[in-house]
Amino acid sequence: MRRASTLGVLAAVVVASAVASLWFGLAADRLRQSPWATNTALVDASATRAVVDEVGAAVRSVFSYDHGNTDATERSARQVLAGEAVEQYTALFGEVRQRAVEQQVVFTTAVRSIGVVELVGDRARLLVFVDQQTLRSADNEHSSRAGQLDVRAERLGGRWRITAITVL
Amino acid sequence: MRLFAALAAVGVLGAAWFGWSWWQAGHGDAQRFALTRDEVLRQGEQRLVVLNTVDRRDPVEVQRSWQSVATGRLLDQLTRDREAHVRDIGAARTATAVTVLGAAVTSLDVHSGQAGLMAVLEVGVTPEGGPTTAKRTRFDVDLTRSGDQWLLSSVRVVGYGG
Repeated sequence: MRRASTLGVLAAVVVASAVASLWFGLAADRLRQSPWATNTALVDASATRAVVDEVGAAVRSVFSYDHGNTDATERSARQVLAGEAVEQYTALFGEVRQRAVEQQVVFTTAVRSIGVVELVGDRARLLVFVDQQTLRSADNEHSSRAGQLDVRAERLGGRWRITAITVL
Repeated sequence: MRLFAALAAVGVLGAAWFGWSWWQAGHGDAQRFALTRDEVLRQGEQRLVVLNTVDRRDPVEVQRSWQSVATGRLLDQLTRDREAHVRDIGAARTATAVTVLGAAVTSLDVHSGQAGLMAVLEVGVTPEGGPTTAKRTRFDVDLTRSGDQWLLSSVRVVGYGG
C-alpha cells in the first residue's frame, strides 16, 4: 500500500513536471519571438553602432557627387547598395549624372540625425535626417533642402548595405 | 520504484530549468531594456503628437495638455509662457491634425531615466473656414522618466543646417 501510494506521488510529479516544462518552454519561445525581443536596436550597443556608422557613411557617399568625379560616387554606390536599391539608384543617377556634368553641380549630403528603428539579425531599418546642398557652378546657384529617409539595410559579407530607400 | 524516483527527480530539474529560462526570456536585463525602448518610442510619439496639437476651441485645455506631456526645462518654458500660448492659440484660430511618419529611439539609459528620440511628423494645419496645409517637420527629442511615464524634457526642430 505505501509502495503504491509513493509510486502514485512520483508518477504525479513526473507528469506535473513534464506539463510544466512544456508550458515554460512554449511560453519562453513565444517571448523570444515577440517583436520587441527580436529587435536588438540599442539592446546590442556595438551592433547598433556598427549599423549606424556604416549606413550613415553609405547615405553620405551615395547622395554626394561632384560633376568632376561622378565615377567616384558610382563606385561607392556599387559598394554600399544592394538589391532593389541598386536599380532605384541606377535609374535616378543616370539622369542626375548628365545634369551634374552639364550644369557643373556639386551635391553634398550631411547626416543630421540617424536612429535604428529595427535591428533583427542581418536586417535593419533606420530613420535618417539629411541636409542636402546643391552648388551649380555654371550659374553660381546655391540651394539647400532638408530631407528624411526610411532606409532598409542588410548585412552582406560582414558589411551593411542599403537595400531600399524611401523618402518620407 | 527507483526508476520512478529518478524520473521524478529529472522531471523536477527539467521543469526548474525551463522555468528559469522562461523567466530569463521575459525578465533578463536585455528583455527589460528592449521593453523600455519600445515604451519610450510609444510614449515619445504620443507626447510629441500632443505637443503639436492645437485646437482653437479650447486654448486653455491645449496649454494644459502640453504641460501634461512635459517635464524639466520644457515644462519650465511652457509654464513661463503659459499666458502668451493661450492667447496665441486663441488668436490663431487654427486646428491641427498630426501624423507620425517615422520615429526611432536614438539613446536610452534605463538607470538615469534618460532617452533620446528622433521623429518626423506631418502636421496638417486647418485655419477656420480655410483649406488644410500639411507640413513635415523633423524633431530631436529628449525624454526623462517620471514615475512610470516618459515625458518630454526638450524638443528641438531639426531645420536645415540649424
